[in-house]
Amino acid sequence: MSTEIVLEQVNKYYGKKQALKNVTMTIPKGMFGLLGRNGAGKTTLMKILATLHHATDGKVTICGVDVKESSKIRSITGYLPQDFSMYGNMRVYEAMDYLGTLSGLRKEERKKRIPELLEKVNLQNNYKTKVRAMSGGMRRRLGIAQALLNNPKVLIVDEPTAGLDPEERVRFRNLLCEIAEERIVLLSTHIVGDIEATCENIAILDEGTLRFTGTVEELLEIAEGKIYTIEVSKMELEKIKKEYIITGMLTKGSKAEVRLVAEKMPFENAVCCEPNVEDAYLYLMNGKAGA
Amino acid sequence: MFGSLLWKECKMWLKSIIFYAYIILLFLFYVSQMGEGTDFVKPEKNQADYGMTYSEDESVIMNETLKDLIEEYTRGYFETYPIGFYKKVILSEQEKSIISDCISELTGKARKEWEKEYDTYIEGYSGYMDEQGQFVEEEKVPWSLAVSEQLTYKEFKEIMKKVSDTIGAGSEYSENRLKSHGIVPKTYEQAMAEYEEVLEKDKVTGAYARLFSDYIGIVLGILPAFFVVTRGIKDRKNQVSGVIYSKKVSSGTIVLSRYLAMIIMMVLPVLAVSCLPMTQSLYIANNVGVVPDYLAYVKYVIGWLLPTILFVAALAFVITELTESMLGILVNGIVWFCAMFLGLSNSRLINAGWNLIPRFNGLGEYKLFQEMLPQLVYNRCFYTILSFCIIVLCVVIYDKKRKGGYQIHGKVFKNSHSKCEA
Repeated sequence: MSTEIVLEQVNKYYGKKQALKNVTMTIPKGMFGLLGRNGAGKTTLMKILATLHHATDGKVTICGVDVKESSKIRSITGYLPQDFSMYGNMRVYEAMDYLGTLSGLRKEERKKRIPELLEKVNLQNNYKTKVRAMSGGMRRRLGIAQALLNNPKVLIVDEPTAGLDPEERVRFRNLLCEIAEERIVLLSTHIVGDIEATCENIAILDEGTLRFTGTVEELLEIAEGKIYTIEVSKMELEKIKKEYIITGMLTKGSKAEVRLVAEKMPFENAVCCEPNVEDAYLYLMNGKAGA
Repeated sequence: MFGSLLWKECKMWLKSIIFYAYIILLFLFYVSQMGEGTDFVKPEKNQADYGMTYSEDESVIMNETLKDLIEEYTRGYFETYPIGFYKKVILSEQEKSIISDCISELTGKARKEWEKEYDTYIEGYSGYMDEQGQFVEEEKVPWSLAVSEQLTYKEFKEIMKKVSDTIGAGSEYSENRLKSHGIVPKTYEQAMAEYEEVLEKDKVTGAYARLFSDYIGIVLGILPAFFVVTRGIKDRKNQVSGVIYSKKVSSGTIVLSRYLAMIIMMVLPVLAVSCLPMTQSLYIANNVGVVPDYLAYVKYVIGWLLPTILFVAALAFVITELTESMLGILVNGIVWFCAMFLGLSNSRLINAGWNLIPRFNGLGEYKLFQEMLPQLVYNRCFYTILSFCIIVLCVVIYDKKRKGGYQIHGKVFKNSHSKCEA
């Protein structure tokens, strides 16, 4: 059984609104980032993969199993929803035990697996902590632990770092990378930094359309030679903002160092520089490159 | 897996404030309605009153029905209970004429003749309030109108059908209501026979268990709805649906384990509260030298009250799954209201009917209960089967929701209209 997710011509409508438009891609083993603005269709795609929504048409297989076979899919996938929570008055171990039962684990399996997972997500000292007393980061880690209960081949993680402080976010990203060594981890986010730090392969969704799929290097190649830096006075800044896509700005007294996207050398004193993922993403999303 | 999940659901209830609120309400209701206890005393000769009973004598039934009919006719309106609710029916002149003809047929007297007799009776009728505040009737002229001696019971029923059809649905003169008119005072012998039956057949405990079921059935017609709706809302409030939906376990296992856990956690307090009247009835049984039926309360709780809990819980469950709102309480409130009105309109004779809350508000009266029993059994089986069907529907709905739901005019299932996800 191949460890990959295959989507072929997937469409999803909510009434008349089309949330996914002919999405075709293959997600290989390892960390895979799904990037896009809020409302791009990321959560819809995630939910289709987690069998919580059905595609209006098209075909989706996970490790060779059609997503329509929801029971089989649920046994090989783990899902961490965007707004993960558990019953507030449950304690950490209790919540894991409850969700482990729902995952079909026998009592002996749960007894062995839950401590392992809680240790993995650094919650080994929080067995008796009530869910309502947990911080956002702890709760997300609990979410990851519960998603791994059935030792899934595919872990679907929807916007896991939103709202976390920088330290917690880095810790969480590292955790996902560890987990991805032996399975597919599909990470959805609108935070480009998360993708840059963790994913080798990515896809970019924009208003339901797949704008890009490939490696991070391939994405960077698209923006190669299109990113410039220039030092301008603050007076000129407004004009530049109107004409170009600004990807970064650093103010230095009365001047500002601006990082911008341009098809050709915008100014004589501009310096062409190496694009980062954020530059490439913005270049792509603002219609400067084809899908 | 099912057992484990069931146990976890039950444990969840043990930590819920709703569970304890349910117990307190159940207990308070019991104390307010039955807290003072009900004495079970042997009838003594020359007692002033032995209570009332329904007569089996066709002549009594016919004459008492005739009396009620004439009184309602002359009053100008009739009490009816279509679908359980009280409705005052005022007849047209033509309809009044039909009723009048029926009375003439019953009495064998012309209209003017029986109207005159009735007027004479009314003129001599008066009453006063005694020291206990009870109304004491004084009839200076005794009631003299009676059904014709030649009239058979079959003919009487045919005339009553005509009366009932004229008055309309829910009439007190329909065939199954005729017996309820024949209320007569119990004789010492009848009271004694009833007393003996309670000792021999009910073992005292059975009689008390029935009374307990009658009262507690009222509160169980609505209380489980609150219990169930809070469980459904809990998932939404804690935002756990997404995680639970994505797990391997089948929708049937989730729904059934939750439902069964709720039923167990609602029945156990009922059994616990039943220990209070049981203690009383065991004490009485011991005093009168009867070996009590120790399982009487368990039998009545399971046979009589459990179907009510099953139905109310199932209805609330399915509505909550369907709407993810508190609507289940409102719908169950309406059902409860209708059931209560239905209970009020009926006498104990046919009180089981198809009412969700069967009533039998009397201690003892074993024979009367036996008459009601077959209908009560059908009634309870009906609600049990109906509950099962509703839960199957609930499993289907839950499964649909897990897979993204489907739309009925785009609004019913919340999972399907989260357009912001796009």
